[in-house]
Amino acid sequence: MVQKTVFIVEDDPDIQEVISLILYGKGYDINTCGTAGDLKKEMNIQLPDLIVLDVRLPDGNGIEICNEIKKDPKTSEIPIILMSANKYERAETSCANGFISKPFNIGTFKDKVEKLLLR
Amino acid sequence: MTRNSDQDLFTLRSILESLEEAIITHDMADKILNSNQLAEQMFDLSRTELYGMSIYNLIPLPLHDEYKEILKRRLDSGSVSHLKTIRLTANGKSLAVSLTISAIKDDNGKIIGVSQIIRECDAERAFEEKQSILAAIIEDSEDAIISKTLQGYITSWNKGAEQIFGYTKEEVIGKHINLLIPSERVREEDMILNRIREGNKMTHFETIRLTKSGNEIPISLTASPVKDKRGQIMGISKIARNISYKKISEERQAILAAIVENSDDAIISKTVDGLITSWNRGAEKIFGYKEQEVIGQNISIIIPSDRIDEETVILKNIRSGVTVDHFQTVRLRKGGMPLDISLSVSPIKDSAGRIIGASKIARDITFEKLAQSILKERNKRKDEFIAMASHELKTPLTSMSGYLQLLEIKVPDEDKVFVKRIIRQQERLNNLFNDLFDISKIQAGKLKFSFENFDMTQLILEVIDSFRNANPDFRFQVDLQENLLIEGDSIRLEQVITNLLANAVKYSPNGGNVEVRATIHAEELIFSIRDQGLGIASEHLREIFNQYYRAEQIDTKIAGLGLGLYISKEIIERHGGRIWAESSLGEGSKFTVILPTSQK
Repeated sequence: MVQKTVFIVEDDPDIQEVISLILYGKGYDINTCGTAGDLKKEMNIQLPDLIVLDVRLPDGNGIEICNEIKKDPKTSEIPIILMSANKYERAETSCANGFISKPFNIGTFKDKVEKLLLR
Repeated sequence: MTRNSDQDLFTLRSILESLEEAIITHDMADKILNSNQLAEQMFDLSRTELYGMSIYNLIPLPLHDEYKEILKRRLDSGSVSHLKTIRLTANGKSLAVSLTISAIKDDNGKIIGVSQIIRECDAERAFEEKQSILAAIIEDSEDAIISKTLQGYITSWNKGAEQIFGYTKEEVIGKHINLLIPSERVREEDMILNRIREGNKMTHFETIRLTKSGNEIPISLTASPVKDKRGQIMGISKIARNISYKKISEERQAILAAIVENSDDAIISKTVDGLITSWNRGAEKIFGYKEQEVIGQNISIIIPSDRIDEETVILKNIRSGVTVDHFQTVRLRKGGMPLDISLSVSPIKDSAGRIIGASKIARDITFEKLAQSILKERNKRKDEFIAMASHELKTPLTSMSGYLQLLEIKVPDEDKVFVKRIIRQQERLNNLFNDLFDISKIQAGKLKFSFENFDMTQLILEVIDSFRNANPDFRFQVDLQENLLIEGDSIRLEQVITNLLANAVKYSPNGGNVEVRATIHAEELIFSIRDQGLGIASEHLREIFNQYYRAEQIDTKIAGLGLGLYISKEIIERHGGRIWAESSLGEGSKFTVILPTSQK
């Protein structure tokens, strides 16, 4: 089985680490980005199998980034999970394949990622 | 004829002329022989025209027989007095007259002619009527009408005088007018008397007089000379009006005028065609025009050209009696600088209720507008701050929650309970943050909803499952209709159900049953939760949905901010639904939610 690549786009290093720990040992290649700029750079090098994307980033809005990725035919098929501290933002995140409100239950988080990677 | 009889005739003639009644004589051939001046005036005929004319020319045709009858039968026995009948003037006018007819006999007692004295009844009656009307007017007048001699002695005194001065007629007739005059004003009366003696009138002279009880009252006096037929002044009539009320209303008017003049608001009046008729100091200050510059000008001088239509609408409203209240608009200062103003316009009516113009109150709201925009900016910053604070608070909470859950997996079983407790506390903290953010959004009117169709049955079951796991002391009895499909914001409605269940658990310290029911009836979802807890006293039932209510009223040992029901009510009402509670102390509580199944 080919190793799946997951990009975590989140500016808080502790949350980055928590997510990495949750997904650790599942055989995923985890790539963390602290900013929207980092994500762009990484995407130019390699396209992931899944992006976990925070809505509030220091240099951009996750919802806008999600829309851009979905519009670009080269990347439109990549599943995206949006994360927000505001759970009522979910309606605005319809462009994404999943939504996680912060703080999250690690079991639920794991399930959502796995389901999207199995497709 | 003797000189003596000549003299007699002359005397008779002059008596005839000086009588105040018309006299005509005629012979037995009905020809008029004699008449006096009054008769000529009455019938509008000259003496030469009258003489020789038949008396029947002065009698309407239907009444000829009446006169013939009198001549034939009644003159033998003497005269006929006060016969009310009709006579005709030369130009055909009918006169109601009273006749006294006598026979003229010769020395032998033979009737040789007829004399008649004619009085016009109309004049007589009219004079009497006029007299009695005047008497009634004088008597019933609210003004005091008094007459007195030139020396100042009172000769008449009407009811109005009784009311104003307190004296009865009997008390004052014959007394001197000084009775009514304060000692320091006695000279005033001399001045009035002098003017009247000179034949002058005195009108609306405002002065002070004394009542019977010694009170001074303000009156307005009109005094005129009373003249006899020859024009000789024989007395004085005085009309005195009590002007206490008038004084008060004048004072009130002066106060109002001062208020208008000193108001910071522009107070302007205009005709229904828009011509400015008054302009106070506030208007001068706000619009920069002096009063004399704008009186008579059209109000359009202060209206920007693109807003002239506004004035047309306002004037149309005013003409139909409709007022304009606090209408925010823009007007021009002298020189063309635009001003933000708030306008109130009301119709001005005359005493008959006709609309004769409009009054306009304009307030300069430049400052308010500025304050509003500052406030708007502040609110925007506040919203940004809340969004940032929410993110900043949730970030550590998120990593804390993540690490705790990982820790829970790693620690030995006997220690897991501690980590679980920390996680519970962290969840409570998260809920409190959520409530605070919701409240600030509700207050800012920014609580957003996204409606979708979903299965309420499923949602309720999921929430109850999580409560079952966390609260083993409670029995959750569930009676739900299947497939309760409704249109709503599922996350917000989940929040309401969670809040109601959390309250049921929180306010039931001894556990017990929690009954949850839901059904759809007539396009409404009816959802209820009943517990066996502490209950709520009836006087608090209405208020529990108010913000911060619990903080003061409920047992302080039970934690919470008291925001949950307020937020729940807001959510339900924004769905077009209702929420209420039924309870009494010690009996548990029942909360019911009614929601429309579609949002239309």
